[in-house]
Amino acid sequence: MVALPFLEAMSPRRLMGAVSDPDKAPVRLVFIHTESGMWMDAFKPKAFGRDFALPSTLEPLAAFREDFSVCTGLFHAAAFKRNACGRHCQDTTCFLTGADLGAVPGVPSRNTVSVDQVAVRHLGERTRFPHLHFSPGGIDSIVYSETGTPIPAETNPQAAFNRLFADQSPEARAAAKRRLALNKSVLDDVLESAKELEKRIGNQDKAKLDEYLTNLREVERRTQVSEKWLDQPAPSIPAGAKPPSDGGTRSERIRAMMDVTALALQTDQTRVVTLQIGGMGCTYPEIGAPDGYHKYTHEDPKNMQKVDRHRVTHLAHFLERLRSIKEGGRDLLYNSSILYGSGMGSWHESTDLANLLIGHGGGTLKQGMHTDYKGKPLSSLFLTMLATAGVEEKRFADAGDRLSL
Amino acid sequence: MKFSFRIFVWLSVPAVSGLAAEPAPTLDPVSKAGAFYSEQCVRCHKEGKAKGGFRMDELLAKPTIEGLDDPWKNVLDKLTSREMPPDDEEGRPTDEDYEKQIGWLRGELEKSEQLTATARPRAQRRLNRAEYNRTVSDLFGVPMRPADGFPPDDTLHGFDTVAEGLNTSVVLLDRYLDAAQLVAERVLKEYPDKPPEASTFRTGANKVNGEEVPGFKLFDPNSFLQFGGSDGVWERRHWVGHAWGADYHAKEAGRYKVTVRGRPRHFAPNERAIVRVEVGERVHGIFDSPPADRGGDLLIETNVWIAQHNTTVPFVFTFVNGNPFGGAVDETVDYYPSCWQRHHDAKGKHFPDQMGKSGDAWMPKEPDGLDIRWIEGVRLEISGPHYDAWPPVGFQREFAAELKAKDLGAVIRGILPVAFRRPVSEAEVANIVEFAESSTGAEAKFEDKLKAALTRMLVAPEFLFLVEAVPAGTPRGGYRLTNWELASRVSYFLTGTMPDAELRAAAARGELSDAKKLDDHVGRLLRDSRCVSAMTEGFLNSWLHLDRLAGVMPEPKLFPHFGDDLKRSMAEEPKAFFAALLRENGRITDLLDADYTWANERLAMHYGLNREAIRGSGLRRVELPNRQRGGLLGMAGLLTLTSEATRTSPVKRGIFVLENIFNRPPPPPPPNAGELIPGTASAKSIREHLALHRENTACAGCHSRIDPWGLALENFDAVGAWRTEESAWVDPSRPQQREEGGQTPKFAINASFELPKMSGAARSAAGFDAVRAELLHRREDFARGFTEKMMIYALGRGLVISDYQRIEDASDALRREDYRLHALIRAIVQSPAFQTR
Repeated sequence: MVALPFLEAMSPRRLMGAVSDPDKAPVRLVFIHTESGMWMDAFKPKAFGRDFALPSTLEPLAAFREDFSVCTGLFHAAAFKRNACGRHCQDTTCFLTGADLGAVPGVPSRNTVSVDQVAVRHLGERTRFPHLHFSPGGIDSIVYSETGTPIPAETNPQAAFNRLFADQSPEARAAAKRRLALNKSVLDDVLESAKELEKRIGNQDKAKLDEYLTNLREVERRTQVSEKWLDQPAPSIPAGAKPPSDGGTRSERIRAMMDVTALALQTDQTRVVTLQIGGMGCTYPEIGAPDGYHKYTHEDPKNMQKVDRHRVTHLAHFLERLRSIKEGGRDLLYNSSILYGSGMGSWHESTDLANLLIGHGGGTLKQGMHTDYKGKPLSSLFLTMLATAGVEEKRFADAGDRLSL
Repeated sequence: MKFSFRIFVWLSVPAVSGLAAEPAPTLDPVSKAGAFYSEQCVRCHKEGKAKGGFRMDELLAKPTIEGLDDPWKNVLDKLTSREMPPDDEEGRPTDEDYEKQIGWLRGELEKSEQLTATARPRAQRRLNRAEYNRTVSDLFGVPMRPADGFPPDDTLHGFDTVAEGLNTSVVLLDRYLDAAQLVAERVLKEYPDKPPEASTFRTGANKVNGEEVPGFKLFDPNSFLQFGGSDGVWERRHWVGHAWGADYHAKEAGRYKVTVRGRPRHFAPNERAIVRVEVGERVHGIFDSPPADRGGDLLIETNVWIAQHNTTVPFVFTFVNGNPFGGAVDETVDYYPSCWQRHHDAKGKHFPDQMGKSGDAWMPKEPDGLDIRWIEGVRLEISGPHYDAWPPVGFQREFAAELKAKDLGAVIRGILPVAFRRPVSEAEVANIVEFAESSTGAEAKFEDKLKAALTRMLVAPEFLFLVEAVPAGTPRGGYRLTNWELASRVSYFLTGTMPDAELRAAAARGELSDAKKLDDHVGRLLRDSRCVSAMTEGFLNSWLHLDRLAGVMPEPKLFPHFGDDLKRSMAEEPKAFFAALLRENGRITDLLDADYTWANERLAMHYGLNREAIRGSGLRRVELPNRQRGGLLGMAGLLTLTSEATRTSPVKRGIFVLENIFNRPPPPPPPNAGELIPGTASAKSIREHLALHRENTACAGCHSRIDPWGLALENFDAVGAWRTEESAWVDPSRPQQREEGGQTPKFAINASFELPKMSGAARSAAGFDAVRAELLHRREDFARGFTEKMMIYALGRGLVISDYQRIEDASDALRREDYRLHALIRAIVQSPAFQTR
């Protein structure tokens, strides 16, 4: 779904108010999911602390030695133990939600909000787009709304680029306005006449009706914001940036998505991005790994490592882009907190996971470490990330505290 | 024994109280129960000796049961099933004692429910996605599926008809608004006076790859063999297993007739070509040709509804008759090179210069001795649009006069009561008309006003929700549904859509208050094919979690023949079985044990039945030659659903029996429950792993009642095929382990089991046949569990203690009529639980 845009002019002052420092760049949150784990022997450094040698899969990050940390010994168990849809659940459906999907009979099987949407709850209204979400396609979304329903990803980086930087044609804008106008009057009228209905129904019997009306009010509010955005010109394209080409190999598409992400962050059109670069059946014939990644995870550690390392080269490319964008005396990488990883290890297990935490979170993160968190929940790492962007959540899924970095 | 069974799916659903308006009840002091509990329970369930982690002394120390509903409900269940105190205890209570305690406790729990219920509002139920699609289609008389783009509905208590679980979200409301406008545009599209001429597109027999006719673009992936035909033209030949198709450009929405012709080669005489048809990325259906020896070249003919004007729709066809050599498809084999190998061997030479790019293979003439199965002379024909009525939208025919007169008020007066499923006041009509006028402006066209009005109507809570307007202050259960509300309940229960014209007429006449007349309508709807499809898709799918089959992924190395056609056939078997019960008013005990099942050719292969007799993809009733199948627990789909990717899971299968057959699910495992870890040092069978797990007393309580049901099914492997031996469980997807473990020992299957008592003595037996005898022995427990499941589905809420009598009544009616399914459905509709709120 195209996220409803919000007027920058309308909100920052009001929302950020006195606490915001006008000279300080905002912190951006990026969640990169690789899916189906990685070969841990080649991903985890042997030594802990600051002086670890880069393992082979992480070698492409040599130029960013002081910009990331390896967090190992993490545990994503609530999402695994009794999930309803098998071992892959903790890695896809539950990677960003940590929900206990309850394969247990009688317990409703329902996902919960994903961590990126928690960030959107707090940061979404400050930018033109609350959230960007990419995947090369063909895989299930890992992003879940406040009510635990999946939000599909954008699969076309070119379309995303156009949405970010191109103004709509006058005809399209007029059609959109007509549609919004009818929606708006329908909303007003339904809300008005719902009072009659509410009178007819006893208080004790209108639980879901109230929820419906509350949501209608929220939609109405958003419709007003959307309407105002329709007349706002899109920001100009940063010098040197070109729209990505359509199609290409999987690697090219992933890099295109990363490039568009960097542009969106650079122009502060969103502060929360989710990138699903994996996919169980995804193949990389361009690097001589023609079979599905999932197959490798079951029988072929060698090819698994080949793909793992290849993906880290994409990551290095993305980090390079962020580092080249200067802002507020620092760079975009400094002002970002980036998660890179998966909810599985080498063999589909959910214990002793390793994820990367990258960027300096606007100066809140101390990097360059390899730490064993000895069974702390992966969700604690999520809390840490949220905090770097000023989102103070006390709990998330099975985590009640942040990782001490 | 762990003290942990639940009666229903309890959870926090507010209660329905007795029918009469009563003052708030007062709870009895626990001491009123007398010495029963301290004499019978405390010995084993007290401080320092809390068997099963349960302490009776704590419950007795409280003044009343307030706030302790859940543990007391467990107590009630143990008493009802006579499970506690255990058999071997001295001085067990007499039946009279039991009944007395059960009566008191149930009364207390009902009071407690009433006390807590008033604090929580009860939900009005909104339409779920399937209901929304059917309802707008029926309302306007044109097939539409706008809800396919809505976020998926949540299930609660196992069903997506439960009001409490049907949440709304901002995303959903956005989609409602968009869908309403799109539906209104669809419905109001202007049609010329006469239907457009149907046109026909045909592919020729003498065209090669890449053929393009206007409006029609074929795509031939690597599946083609092109042979020079006898008359020197190229012929299109497909071998089985590969997809081909066409992009068809439809100028008009409407019904299109799709015909596929061709001649199967090297098929057995009575074998049928099986064609899967996908339209616009949805599976439209799987169709069987007439038997191959029946002559003629017509393979299949089907009708497809194209909903959009001026759209390009991809049609994809696949011949899914197993592999090219006649057996089941092995997912780990690429048949293309092996077909070629075989062909080259047969001919003894290659034709390298006539081979195109990978996959295109052109032969000068059909080689002799090539026994690969293919379809030759494949032709596709699409013709349309065909219309059964004109204009194609029922709404436009029904309101022809009002639309012609541009009388907005008359149209709304006609459609609004149907949409809201109740009579509407003139003021409500006027409000909508006024809305349409004011929101579009004075100069707006009639069509724009009508669009605004219909959009407004489709977003109204009265349309989206099955509103049951209980006046304020009515006690729970004290409200009798109006005829209109009852019509909706019946209609959505049985057909998953709005009440049809006859039901509406009966409601208008107030006839549904008459039990006999209501029952006549139920009888009428039960004969309606809409009922079979809606209840199979709505009730059965959720009851057995059949949707989850789509996501299972058995390890291909171990189960190479597990492919899409098998998976689909597996999912169809219980549906076809249940649909037949529903059509023919069969016995639900057939679900426990039967000497027949519903199968197609693919399942017949999987089950080792004679496939010659069951050619094709269509499922039909098959008499079983032996006792290896029959009943739900012998169905491969359910056995696969309850397995891991690499092995069976007696635990999952046991839970399935407790949850789905008896509706007595075990509680969730404690947070520290271990996992079964495949050992490498000493190879063990699953049975031995589980036995170890049960040695842990924390686990034994639940697992001693879960595991036996699953262990009895060990003759079925992880994809439900019959087996007599198993390999030691060394996860084959972990090569490391395999190297360490070396050879994996095999064990003969031991399917013996020892059941704890439910309402009888413990029994030991072995194997699938014995377990079905056990199920039949407990058929009354099943009837009750099944009744509860169907009541949750029908009432749209979780069950509570005060439903107890209604459940008993309905399952009694079922038992009295020899467990015939219609008896239960009729009894549920007649139940006060169904007719009140």
